[in-house]
Amino acid sequence: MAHDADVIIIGAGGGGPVVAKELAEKGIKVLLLEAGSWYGNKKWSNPRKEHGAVSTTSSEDLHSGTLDKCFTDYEGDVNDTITGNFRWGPADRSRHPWFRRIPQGGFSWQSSGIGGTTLSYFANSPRAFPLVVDNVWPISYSEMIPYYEKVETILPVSPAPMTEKEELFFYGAKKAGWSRLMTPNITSPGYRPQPNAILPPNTNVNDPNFKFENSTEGCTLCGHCVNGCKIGPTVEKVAKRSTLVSYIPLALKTGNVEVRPNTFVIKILTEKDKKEGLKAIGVGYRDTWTGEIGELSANVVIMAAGTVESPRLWLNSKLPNNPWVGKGLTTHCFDSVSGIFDEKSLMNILGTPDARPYVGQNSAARFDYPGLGALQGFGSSPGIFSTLLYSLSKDGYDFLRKPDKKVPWDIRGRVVGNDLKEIMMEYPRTLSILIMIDDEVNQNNSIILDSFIRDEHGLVPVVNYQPSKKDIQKRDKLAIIAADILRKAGAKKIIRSDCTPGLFVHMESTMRMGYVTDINCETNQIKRLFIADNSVHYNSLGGANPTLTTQALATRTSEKIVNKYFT
Amino acid sequence: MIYNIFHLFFEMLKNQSKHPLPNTKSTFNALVDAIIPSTPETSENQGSIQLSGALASHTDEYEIWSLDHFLSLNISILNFSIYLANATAKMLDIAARQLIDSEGNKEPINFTILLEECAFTALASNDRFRAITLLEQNKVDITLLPIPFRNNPGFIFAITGGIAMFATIGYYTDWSGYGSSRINTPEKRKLEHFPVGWKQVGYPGPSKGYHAFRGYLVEKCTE
Repeated sequence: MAHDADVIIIGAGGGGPVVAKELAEKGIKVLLLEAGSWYGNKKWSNPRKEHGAVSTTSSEDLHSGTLDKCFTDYEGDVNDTITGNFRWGPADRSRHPWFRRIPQGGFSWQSSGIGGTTLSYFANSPRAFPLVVDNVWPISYSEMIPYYEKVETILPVSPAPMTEKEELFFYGAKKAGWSRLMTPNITSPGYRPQPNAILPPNTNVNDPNFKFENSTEGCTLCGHCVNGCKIGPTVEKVAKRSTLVSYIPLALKTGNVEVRPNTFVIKILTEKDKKEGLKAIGVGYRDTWTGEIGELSANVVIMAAGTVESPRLWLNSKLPNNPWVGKGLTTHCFDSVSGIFDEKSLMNILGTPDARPYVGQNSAARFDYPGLGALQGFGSSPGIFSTLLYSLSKDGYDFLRKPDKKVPWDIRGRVVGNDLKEIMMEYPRTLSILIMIDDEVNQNNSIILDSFIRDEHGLVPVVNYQPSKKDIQKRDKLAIIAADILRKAGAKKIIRSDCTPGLFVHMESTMRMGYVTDINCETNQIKRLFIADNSVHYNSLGGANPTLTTQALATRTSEKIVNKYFT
Repeated sequence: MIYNIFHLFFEMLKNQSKHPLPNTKSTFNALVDAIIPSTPETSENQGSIQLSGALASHTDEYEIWSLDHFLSLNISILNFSIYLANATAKMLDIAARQLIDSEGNKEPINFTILLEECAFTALASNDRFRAITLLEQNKVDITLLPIPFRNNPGFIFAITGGIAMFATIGYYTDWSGYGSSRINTPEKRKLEHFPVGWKQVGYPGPSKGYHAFRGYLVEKCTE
């Protein structure tokens, strides 16, 4: 029987395009399906207003002018959770976003569109900590290294440049007595530049006559990583290396990849095979503009729909029961600590009166602590900044709290009223640190289906997550370290956001290797069905940002697919 | 079971309206005014730009719009928008009444408003957060809440968290600069003026780049 492709990949986010490129370079015909729209392609010149083409196999239509028009640099226009360009929802912004039920409150910061959540990610690309891989994962850290190196070269990844906020972060970390780390394989605590998938700035960037244009080559320190970088002479040379501008162009150039946006996969199709048992044979999909339903067939199917949608798709497809499908969700249980400085301290350290959180890459400095997790410096424009840092507490309002004794922060929880306005007036003199912990895998933390609420793609996912006692202790320890770094740098006031566990930025491990899949990321119960997104991680990587590991694993999985099914 | 589901569903539709009720409008006015108030005292010390708060930027409309575009359900082949602003306002009103009945408010109530409008609006700003806290601490009789909040603590938390977040997004992002086009869908909006929130905090607006490079802590990692 003739298939629509050799391989169908579901989802063009952090992992799917990597598999597409790797397989297509071996001559395998790939069909890459994406639920969201395409920015920066002439065939979808008004991706929010009209359907555009059905699909493309050409890299000729990638167009930086179209990208410039789509990415406005306005934080609300891009990142509003309900109508933003990068929301999790259909291309047509006059329609509702796609719903996730989050019983504990909060929101999942995920994006639809070619590039997926790498459209809005900070491009932080650290490796996992060896401590949580060796003798824990079913594969070893040393086995991962060549794949990490390959992805780091292709993206490419390099140490991030400093602006005021990074210099201040490192000044505090050094004064607090921590070591500077020089290796990408982190085995002891210390601080280092973020390994970022962002092209370095031009060496003349400080020349007052250096003119910044959308076509400038390399990072311009404009601070819009989170708003979808558009800085670059062509789409494939855009500074921030989302898969939209890195792996997608490389995949298309092979001539073996067809990419189809606006296509939401609603079912995995299977059949029983005498030799292989139950195997994947294709997918059922729904066009997000027209509502048209159809089926596509292939020899191999790869789920790269993300940590929520991959298990949701499994469950909505009524694939065989597995007690670990959707179970074991980790999130790094984010928190944040911010420090406000006076002008004099900043003048002494930086020679400038401000730390300007809106300047430079959104996160370009980090601190790692194997066993606890990681800290990362953070800055952005004021809407995202105030929302993340001052409004997301799980425990209510600061002014209603009983004063904490012997804690290193002055404020904890939601800030409102005069206090909020006054804190935000200090925005240019604020340094913020995000906390990401090495949270434990717990089977109760899960993606399940709502028993009643459906959207056009089936029963909606329910995201359950509560940190363990141990997780809370790790978070508290890291918050104390972050506060100490800020105090040592000279902060006069410290605010801990006490973030809700319902903020989902780094979701992982809901289709774990060893439980749902074998060590090659092929599912145990359905042959020819593979997973290539964060859901297949065995754990939360120790607190390291997940994308690079997903991309390294996707590279490895591609090799395994070629060896098993295409040689 | 099926009867119950349909009964609940029709009750929910009965309370549905994409047009905010008068009490809804005043409740969200009261909410955003408490979160980001007008601050005459700050403006005396820090300049007149610091005077205005969320009401002047119509952040209440952003709250209502966001809640009314948050959720749609699919029944059979039809999609239904679930308008949450009216139900949320009713929920805040019930929490405020419980705060007043249990004498949990710390500041005087505005009785004129209490008679004319909803209890939440009649509370002093700080007491409005005390009312929300009752909801977040499971201290409100949730059998009295409107659908979809009735007996649904998960959904209550989702929305009490949501309304806090929507206030800062509405006020400190570009949304407040869309002026007369602010309620249009994003493709039909136009930035009409520089957002006041950005002026107040010293954000210069989006830039194509900065001459701000300070070198590298480490130029290259070593294995």
